[in-house]
Amino acid sequence: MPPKRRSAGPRAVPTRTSSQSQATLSFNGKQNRVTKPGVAPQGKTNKKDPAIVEDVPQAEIKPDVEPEPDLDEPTTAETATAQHPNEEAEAPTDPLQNGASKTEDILGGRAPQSEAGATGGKGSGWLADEETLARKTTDTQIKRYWRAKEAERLAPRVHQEDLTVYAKVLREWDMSGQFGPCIGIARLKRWKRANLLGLNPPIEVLAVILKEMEAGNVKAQRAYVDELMNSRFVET
Amino acid sequence: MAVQYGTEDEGDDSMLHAPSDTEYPLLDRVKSTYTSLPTYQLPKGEDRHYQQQYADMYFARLAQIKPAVEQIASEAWADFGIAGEKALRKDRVLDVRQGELCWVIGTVYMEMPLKPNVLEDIGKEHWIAAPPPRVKYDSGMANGDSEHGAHAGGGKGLSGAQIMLEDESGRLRLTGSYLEGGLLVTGAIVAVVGTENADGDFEVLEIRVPDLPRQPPRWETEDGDAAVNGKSASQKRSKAGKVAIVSGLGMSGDEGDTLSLDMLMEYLLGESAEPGSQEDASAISRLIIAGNSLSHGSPIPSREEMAAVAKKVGRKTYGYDSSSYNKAPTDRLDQWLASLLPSMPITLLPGEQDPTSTSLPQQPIHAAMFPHSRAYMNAPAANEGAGWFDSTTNPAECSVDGWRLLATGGQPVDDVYKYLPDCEERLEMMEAMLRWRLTAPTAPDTLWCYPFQDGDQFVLKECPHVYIVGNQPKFETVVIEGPVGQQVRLVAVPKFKDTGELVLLDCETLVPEVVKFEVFEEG
Repeated sequence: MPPKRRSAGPRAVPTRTSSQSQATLSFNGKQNRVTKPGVAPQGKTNKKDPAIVEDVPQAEIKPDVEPEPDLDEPTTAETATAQHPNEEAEAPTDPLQNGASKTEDILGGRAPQSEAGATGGKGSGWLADEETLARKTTDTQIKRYWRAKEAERLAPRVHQEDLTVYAKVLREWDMSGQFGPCIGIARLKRWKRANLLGLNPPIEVLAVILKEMEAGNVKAQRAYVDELMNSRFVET
Repeated sequence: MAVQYGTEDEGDDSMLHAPSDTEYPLLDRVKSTYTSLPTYQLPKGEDRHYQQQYADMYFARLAQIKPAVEQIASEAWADFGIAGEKALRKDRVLDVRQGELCWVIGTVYMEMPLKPNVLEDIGKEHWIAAPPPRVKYDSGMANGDSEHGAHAGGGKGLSGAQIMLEDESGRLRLTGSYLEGGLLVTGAIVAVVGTENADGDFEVLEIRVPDLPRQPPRWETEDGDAAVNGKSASQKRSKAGKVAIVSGLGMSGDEGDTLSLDMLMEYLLGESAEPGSQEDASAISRLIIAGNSLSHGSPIPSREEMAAVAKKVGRKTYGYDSSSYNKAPTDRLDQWLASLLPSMPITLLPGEQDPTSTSLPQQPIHAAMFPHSRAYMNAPAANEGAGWFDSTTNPAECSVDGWRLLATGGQPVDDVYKYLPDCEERLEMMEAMLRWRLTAPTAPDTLWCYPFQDGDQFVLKECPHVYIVGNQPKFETVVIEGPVGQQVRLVAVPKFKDTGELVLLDCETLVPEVVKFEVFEEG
């Protein structure tokens, strides 16, 4: 993708406040932007999704400092990585009907490309029928998995009282270092990568990720620490 | 390709007669079967992301190679015991305990004082000139112990190299006299057995490497493709010819480098020398150019050049100054290739100084650089695979006459060379790289590379039959053996500009020979 040019905005267009009788042409600015056909489709989220535009910090910063980078628009970095879950979401578009045959379809259709995903090829990322298994996982199974995880620790977890079980499962998934770094990669993509590398990630985590995706929860696509580490607070 | 020759018994007067009616048989060039594998091709355009960190790449590398090392180490150390205590496997590097004999797997990290450090560079940028490029990264203070071997300094706590073992949990410093004999660079995945001593360092008793992966039998790629396409796999294969390998042509457009290049071209076309060598030349079925065809094609200016330009122009210029582009070298290369191409197929690998990406894997030199030779290339949109003229990636994997070839332009080996103090054996480094199963072990530490996220593309999944490295100081070759009977021929190809040597690899026996071109200098 060509590097994002700062939109020139109303500053660059010569505004003729004195004689506004003649209509002016503007070749830049928000109303003339044409989306190039090569841009990947957005899928379920639009550009200004709440995970990327931090409205809370913006309200604090704007009165103090004139924002240097355009805080309203996400940088190419964030759009590129935010599109990870969209790209992954496009594969399983058929949740409950014929899940097994669709994965077989995908696998059968991609037979010549043997390496799927993790070792460089272009596969869909599914080894077998993990997706169907995950979608069949019930809530009680997930809760049982979580209770087993909590029982591993001697002391109870503090500061997690106001999180749902799903959020707790996902945070535990982020903090499991044996599946790789959690920053800079979407949770689903990380799960698929761990699966392809043979690390046996728990299927309940995949179930939670898919459930959150279907519920339209965009914040749950990336790790919580990813958001914290990449926050664009402007230091004054 | 037709060449005429007379019988060898006639002397110089053989041509001094009226035209005769004798029929001279024509020589034809031997054909070669060639498949180029797209192992090192990166996705194009928007699919190539640079947002990710390199930690993903190290993690993927460890995860991919761990199973192989685990198997080798558990077989080797099943009965490893000292004074009745057996060695146990520890899952995480930080789980080692003092006094306990155990073995762990991790990535080697070498802390060397002279390694390029970006923070130091930025801090010093305004104060002193850039240091000259280092030949070796070791500080050289351990020179007194050099007779003890490669990594003496680190073991004794001097300011030499410090070797550590790293995995997801943390880092563990390694010591011990065993390290001095071994070859280790950052990025290699090894298993070490030993115990933790009182300082908290791990004393190494033995090291195991993943060793060579599975080697496909000859013709496996072609047979596999034929099976997929539904054709019968039992085709008659004609006798294979020879492959010519050259590297470091170094065309610069202004120096007097034309004569040896012209001699090389005439030799390959069969136009030169006497009938014996013309017959040899007709056996050459393919030419592989392994890097550095242009001598200064990469336009990234160094710090001194930028300062000089800034002084001249009066303001700081960022990036590439397009008015300084000189098209003569690429023109010359294009003409040279275009005169060879009608007669023989060529595979071109980019090198360190060629006009393509600087980070590994270097992508193929674009067809736009070759206005004449591009007629012999396949259109990029067509999925027919490599054409007659294959501009390919660096490193490149291809299948020539059934044999699997792995060729690089020399940057990985040169970088590994910088890590090893007192070691000048390039063949040993090449062998070590194959045994670690990594084509570029020091990427991304000191070698620029693309941030792979899904898997490390430099991990060798299948063992090649021939490993070719270009731009080395001299020609060397050896055959190494693997644990399951793999045999790999290592070939270090010298720079043509310095030595004038061309390597011919016989494709039936895999034995290389050298043809040397030299110009007599008067005085």
